[in-house]
Amino acid sequence: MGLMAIDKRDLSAFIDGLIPQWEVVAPVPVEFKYAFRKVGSFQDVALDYTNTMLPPKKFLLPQRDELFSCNPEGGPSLTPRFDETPRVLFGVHSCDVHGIWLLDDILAEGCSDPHYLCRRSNTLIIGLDCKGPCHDNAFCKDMGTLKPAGGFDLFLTDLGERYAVQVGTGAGTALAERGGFYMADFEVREEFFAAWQKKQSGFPNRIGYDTAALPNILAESYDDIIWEALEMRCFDCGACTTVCPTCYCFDVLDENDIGTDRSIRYRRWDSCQLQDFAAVAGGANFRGKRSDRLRHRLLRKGKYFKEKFGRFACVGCGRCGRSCLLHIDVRDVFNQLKG
Amino acid sequence: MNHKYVSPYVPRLAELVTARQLTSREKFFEVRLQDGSALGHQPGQFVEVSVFGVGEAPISVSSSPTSQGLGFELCVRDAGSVTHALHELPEGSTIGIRGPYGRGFPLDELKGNDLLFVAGGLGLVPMRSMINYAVDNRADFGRLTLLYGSRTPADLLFADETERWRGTPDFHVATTVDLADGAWTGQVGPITKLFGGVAINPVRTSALVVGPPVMFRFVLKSLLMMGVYESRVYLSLERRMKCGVGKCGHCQIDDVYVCQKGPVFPYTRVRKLPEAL
Amino acid sequence: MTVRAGVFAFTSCEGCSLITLEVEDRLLEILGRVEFVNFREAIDDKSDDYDIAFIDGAITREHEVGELMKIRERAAILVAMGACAVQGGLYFLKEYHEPGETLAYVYGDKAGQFDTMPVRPVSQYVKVDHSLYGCPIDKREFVEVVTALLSGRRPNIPDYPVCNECRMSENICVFERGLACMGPVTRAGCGAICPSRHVGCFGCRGMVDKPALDQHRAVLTERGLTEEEITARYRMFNGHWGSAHEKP
Ligand SMILES: Cc1cc2nc3c(=O)[nH]c(=O)nc-3n(C[C@H](O)[C@H](O)[C@H](O)COP(=O)(O)OP(=O)(O)OC[C@H]3O[C@@H](n4cnc5c(N)ncnc54)[C@H](O)[C@@H]3O)c2cc1C
Ligand code: SF4
Ligand code: SF4
Ligand code: SF4
Ligand code: SF4
Ligand code: FES
Repeated sequence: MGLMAIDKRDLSAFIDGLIPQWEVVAPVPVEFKYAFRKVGSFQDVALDYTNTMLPPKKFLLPQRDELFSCNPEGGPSLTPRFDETPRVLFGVHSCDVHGIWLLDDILAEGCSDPHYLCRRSNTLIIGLDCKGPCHDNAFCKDMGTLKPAGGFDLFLTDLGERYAVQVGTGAGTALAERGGFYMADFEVREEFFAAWQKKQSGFPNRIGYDTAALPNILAESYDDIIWEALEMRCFDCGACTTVCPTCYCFDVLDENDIGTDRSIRYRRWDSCQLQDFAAVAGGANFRGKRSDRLRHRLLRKGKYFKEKFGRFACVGCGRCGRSCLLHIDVRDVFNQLKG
Repeated sequence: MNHKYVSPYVPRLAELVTARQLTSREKFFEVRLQDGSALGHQPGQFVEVSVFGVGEAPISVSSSPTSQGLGFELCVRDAGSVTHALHELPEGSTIGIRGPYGRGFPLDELKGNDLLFVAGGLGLVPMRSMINYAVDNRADFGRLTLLYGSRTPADLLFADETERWRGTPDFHVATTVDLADGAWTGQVGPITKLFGGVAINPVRTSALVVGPPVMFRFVLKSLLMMGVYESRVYLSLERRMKCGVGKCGHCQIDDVYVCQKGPVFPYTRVRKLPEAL
Repeated sequence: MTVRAGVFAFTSCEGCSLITLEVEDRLLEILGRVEFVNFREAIDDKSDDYDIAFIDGAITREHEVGELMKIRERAAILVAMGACAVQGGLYFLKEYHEPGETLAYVYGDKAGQFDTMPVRPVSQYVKVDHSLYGCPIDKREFVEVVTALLSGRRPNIPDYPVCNECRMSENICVFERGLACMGPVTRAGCGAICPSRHVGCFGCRGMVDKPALDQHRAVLTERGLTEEEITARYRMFNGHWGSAHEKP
């Protein structure tokens, strides 16, 4: 869609103007790192932030997501739970926008997931361009996520005195009508283009080949000894999937209310890297080997989703590598597989 | 609250009409949806059964869609939290049902063929749905053969029904147990032992295999050695399942969601999936 | 349905027993469904008729073994409660000293009046149906076990490392603060409270069923810990485990 602009001095009024109506979530500093949190004012927002510890998916697929409650009286009666909180995710970097965009496809595909879709349809996403690689293991350029291609309502690029604003949806247009925004003139377009060129050249490639080859490389590596070698560095902790913007697997559990006999069925983040993920009653564990679990994750990241949705389930944010105590880094594995 | 969203995770309410102990570990249930509707399943499909406040477990539908009853039937082994709670429920209790889910046996492809049913242990539960379907549509199928293996004679499921099948025209039934007791006069040993005694016409036969994971390799080998076409072998595979609708990720075999594309797969499909067998 | 529960303290600080009383918001509800009998800290009249026994403390004396066995006979469900009952707890540190040495240190010339024997977890002597981990136990987990048992389901207690919860809480990993951590091999369920407060996990909840010990050792070594420091960390709460690498 179209390109607009907003002067920097007007941004704070715009964001503060959203707060009475929406729950505004944005990156805030946490010691020497950052996290997406609900903010009370534009002042709290860290505009120059390096990637947050957890991606913003936690506001679309919360760690604990109640599906329905069950009241045994009269039936029993089951009440589905939908979170309709109007929410704005502000300041989302392009890698994370890509992450959300992929979740949108995954959770809408086939039997769609209304708990996600309900939250998503009540959420506006305002992205913000990062200016340089946030970490030395980020490989967003290789994964093609340097600029957003979908999954955002507005997307801001810093042009010095103002932001260029890409408008992604009708809801984004409506947001921009709240004031402060104006149509991009020739000068803004020029600057925006220059900013993009500068961004592109400012990011190094960190995978030694064109990632278009990745699905094939992974297919050929199915029986590679690399998986067994990685086994020696993994604890089955699931940190890598927890911090990944495209991981969404979940477990489903019941919780009882002791006083009333009511119960709640909820889901919570699970991880294919945990030992019991594929274990069944009767003792079989279909992915009991750590190397099989690692391979499964990497194949999901670099092959399965690419084949199904045309996009990788890895946006190159590097979070998994930074969270793994023995440095199992998707980027390194992708590089090693090529040999 | 009236919602435009309908959650696939919220079950329909159903009544446990009857609950009957089948063996020391398995119980048989007749279930009826509270809204009176039929389940509308295919043989080989499963449902997610909820015991509220305990959890949910995937269970195969054991009755045939052709059966005359008002509801459908399940046969459940007491294997953990949910299945144990189900065993404890009195008749008349309300449970939750989601589904039917997955792909069952390919009825159209099977039509006109001889059917060889190979069931190990609990595998007879989903197979029973298909067997009764074939018996009820006897004219649609050629010769029927059931090979059924169980741990001990006391573990044999649906003994009365197995006898009834034996009495059906052109239906050959053979059973074996791993561990015999004094009264057992039949075969002893793994299910592959039964293959020697069956007369099938391999080029007309479709083989349907359901059983524990360890069984598949041996059975497949025997089937292919008998000359059954690879393309006419169907397997029902078990995996950990949570959501049943292709979202939670637990059931995957490589990139295939068993809850969506299975549990019944043609062998030709499974052969290309390294994680399958 | 109400169930009768007994709480029994052996060698421990009885802190875990007290936690069961501290579950303020849920306590009244629990008391409606659970009748506590034989509860040394909270009620006076004692009864030997109970369905669930919560055992607090390690077994360190001869007479405790007999009492424990009696409790096991009476209780349908036995729950080991807290690091002492589950792993021997801090008391297990005694096993790294010469027999009698600790006794003499604590009681001086009166040491002979006390009987003592090797510190062992409850599971060494009787079958344990469920465990409540931690030093002290986690209130929410106590409520979870009670509600699960009342509802006839298996209590939902994690068998994955603390790191998982730690990352979910968006903590800064204490290794990045130059500290060491037992989180990678320790059973989650506490919500990673120690790393949340900028200290490394001590491993009070014991290890996951299949801990990646070699990998953890590699992490600690890479971060500069010596053999002795690693061993000390393992001994603190996981000594009964054979300090992961050495038998006590
Ligand atoms: C498509 C399909 C069809 C099926 N059809 C049938 C059928 O017709 N009949 C039938 O009886 N079964 C069937 N099953 C198997 C059935 O789904 C399982 O037996 C059931 O899910 C077990 O659930 P549960 O809650 O009772 O057991 P769980 O409580 O989940 O436990 C299962 C076992 O694993 C152990 N376990 C699991 N998690 C833990 C943990 N965290 N801590 C400790 N122990 C643990 C338990 O001790 C127990 O032995 C089918 C499965 C599939 C996938
Ligand atoms: S973060 Fe590292 S150690 Fe943990 S599961 Fe992932 S790969 Fe394994
Ligand atoms: S796999 Fe790793 S680098 Fe890729 S998106 Fe997930 S966390 Fe980021
Ligand atoms: S602080 Fe400890 S528990 Fe948390 S991630 Fe680091 S090693 Fe794991
Ligand atoms: S972080 Fe470790 S030491 Fe702290 S409470 Fe949890 S398990 Fe215990
Ligand atoms: S059971 Fe959840 S994806 Fe198949």
